[in-house]
Amino acid sequence: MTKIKLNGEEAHVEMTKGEFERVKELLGRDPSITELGAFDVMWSEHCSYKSSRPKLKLFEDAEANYDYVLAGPGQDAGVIDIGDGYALAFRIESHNHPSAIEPYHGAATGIGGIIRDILCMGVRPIALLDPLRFGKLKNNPHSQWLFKYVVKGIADYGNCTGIPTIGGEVEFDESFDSNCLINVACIGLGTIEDFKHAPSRAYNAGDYVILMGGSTGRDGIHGVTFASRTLTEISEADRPAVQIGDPFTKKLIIEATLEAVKTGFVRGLKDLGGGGLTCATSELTGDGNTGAKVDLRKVFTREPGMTSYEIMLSESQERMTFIVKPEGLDTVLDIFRKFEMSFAVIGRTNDSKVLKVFDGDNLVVNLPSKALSESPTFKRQERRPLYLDKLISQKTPDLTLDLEEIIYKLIASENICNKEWIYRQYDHEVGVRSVVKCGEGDSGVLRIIGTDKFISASVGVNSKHCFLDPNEGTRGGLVEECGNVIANGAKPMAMVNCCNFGNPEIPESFWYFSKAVEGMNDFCRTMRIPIVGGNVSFYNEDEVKKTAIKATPMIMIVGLIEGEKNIITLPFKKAGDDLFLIGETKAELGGSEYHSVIYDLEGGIPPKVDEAKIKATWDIMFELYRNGMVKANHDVNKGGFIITIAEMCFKNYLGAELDLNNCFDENIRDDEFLFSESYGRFIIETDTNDHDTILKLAKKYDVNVKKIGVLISNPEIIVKGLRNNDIKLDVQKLKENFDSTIPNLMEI
Amino acid sequence: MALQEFIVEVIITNKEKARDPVGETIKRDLLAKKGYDMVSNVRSGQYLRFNLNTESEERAKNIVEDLLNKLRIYNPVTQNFRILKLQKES
Repeated sequence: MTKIKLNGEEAHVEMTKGEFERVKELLGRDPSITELGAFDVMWSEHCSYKSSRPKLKLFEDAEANYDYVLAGPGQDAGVIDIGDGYALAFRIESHNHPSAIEPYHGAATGIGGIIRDILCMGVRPIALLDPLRFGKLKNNPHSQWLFKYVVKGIADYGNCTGIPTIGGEVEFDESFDSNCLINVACIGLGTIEDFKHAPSRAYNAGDYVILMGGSTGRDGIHGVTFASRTLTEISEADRPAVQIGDPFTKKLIIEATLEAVKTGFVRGLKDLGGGGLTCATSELTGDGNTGAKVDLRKVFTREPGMTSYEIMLSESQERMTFIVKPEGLDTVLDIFRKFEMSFAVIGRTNDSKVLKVFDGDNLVVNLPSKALSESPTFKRQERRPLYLDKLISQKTPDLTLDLEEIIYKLIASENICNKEWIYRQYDHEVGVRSVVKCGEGDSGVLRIIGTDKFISASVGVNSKHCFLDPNEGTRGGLVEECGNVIANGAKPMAMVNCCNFGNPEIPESFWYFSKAVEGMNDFCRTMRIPIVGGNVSFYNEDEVKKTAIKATPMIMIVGLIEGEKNIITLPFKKAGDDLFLIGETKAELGGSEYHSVIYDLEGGIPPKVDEAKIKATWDIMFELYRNGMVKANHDVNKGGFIITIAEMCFKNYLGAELDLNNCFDENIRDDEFLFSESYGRFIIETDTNDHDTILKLAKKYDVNVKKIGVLISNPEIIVKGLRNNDIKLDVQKLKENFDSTIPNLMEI
Repeated sequence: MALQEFIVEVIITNKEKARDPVGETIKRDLLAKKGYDMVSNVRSGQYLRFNLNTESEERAKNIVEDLLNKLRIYNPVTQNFRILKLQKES
């Protein structure tokens, strides 16, 4: 908070004194109170990306470098051309702070916001995905409370709007005890025509500016400044900043908007989220190089007596701004009437390049339209935290415990166990597009109705790995999410990210962000995956422990599958089939679940990523797919490959007999081989007839491919060829451990 | 003191500054169907009635307030509750 003098009166703002001076310099006068509020919001970290923008410049050229990218970073969502005249839009963003205060409405309105972002690209939202982070559930009522209501908020909002929630990811870790992470992603589908109809810009003079949807109230004023501070500074007093969502109205807004876009009369479209009407009007005109005259008295307000300041800054939910051609005004308004949507024509665009906002006869905002969106940036200091060396030097203790007991324990741990408790609350099938159900594949797979194309989407990252090495961890996250879509048969097409970090003013926190962004950029350029959008959430700090959350650069990958026959699923299919482990297993236990669950260790060197090897692994997978040789596939993730095999046994209640002789290097220990989280590995099921061809291909691509065993009808997993004794696991018991953890902790 | 049966009625509403989608929908319907333009606002709420055996009116009220808060029967961030009526069961 900064105290400043405005027109002889004292005012409190979030901006710094330097920024206030810059505003005065820009205008050549003192701002009005409404203008000051507008600058304060638009120049906040959340709206302006002032700390992150210099770094995010790395991502800027996606549209130019990839011919199928239609919209890249800086737009409301990334959009790609998937052929047959269709455009796919997707975006991920955070709703961490509101959800940490009020999990139900916080999560629900997060879903509401991301749906609007997709909608304003002119396409229909068709799927949601939600990666989440909470403190550990065990003996932690606060975490359980957040978890229960966040999931319920997502479910209630998503289910009511008729959009399936097709995937997500969750980790439980102490660093998220009081600052949980709620990231929400949405995918939209439309024709390329639809997308071109509705840019989030007002390019033309003389068009009408229409506000449609819910009424404007005093709720949520300063929601974005709320997102740009740590939770300690605000919580209690600022609680009214939490919004209440209205999914049924949202459903009407979706239908009314899409119908209006189809008329061809809509020339610009923008949702009202953070920064409200201020953000929408200034970005529409600023980015479109036009101006506008707007009258706030036309805005339909929920309560009488709202000031121009309040109307401009309100973040009331369920509102959209339309820029409409004059000749189409009646047609568009009739569509709104048909859906019983409230609306108001609040002004018109012009070519003055100035945004003039009137409160009746009073001119309350008179600014160059670009002024608000061109905030100053900061070059933040970065410094590698000193504690990392000590953490990284931690060694895996000698293996003295029983391997069978370790595996039974690991599979029941919070980060590995079955997440059905979450996804059974979500409607993941509404819309009849869902092909691979939750739990039967590594990603969500959706049919593009009317074609033989399918899209696959996966989201997540390993926060423990990123905490130990943000660059390697982020690249690992990319390997993992790409691996998830590849496991279902899809080719990775594009990525969007949501960067969740601590306070950027602290050099150690900013270092994490900086390294993660560099990792993302390097990997995506090498692997030719366009980065088409992102969101940054800073100031995620634990108010009690005074530490930042574990760095979480959440990654979402969208892939494409051509032809239904090329969809691969996770469960093992038939006894007698061969099992292959594709990719190299190294002694990489740093930041693993094995370390944390069995030894309560956070450290060690996390897995490293070698792009050339990953590329070769993907290439061989696609060749195996082309040959139709893969019957089941699961990407190796938390807990290592033994956990992966167990998960693949569950659905059809099969077993596996593994012989690991000659499968691993002699200086790798049993536990290192079984529980390593080395990136870029898959377990595949294949017909025994294909055995020789597969090994030939392994040579051709120079990929580490090992036949590790065969499927058996007896539901047990037998592991031979270890340095210790053979082990024998009961699939039924593994499944019980896998299934019971969350229901037991949540008592339902 | 002998226990007596009390009835405590509670109404839970969204805070004044928060939205109320149910009330808004009812109001929109009234306007859409015409003839009720005089209705300028509709707010909805949730009604709860507790029957409980305890020593006094005061105690009955305290118990209900306590359980509303502790069990999060209402959401203190977005909602208020009001005790409508407190009476001895006859």
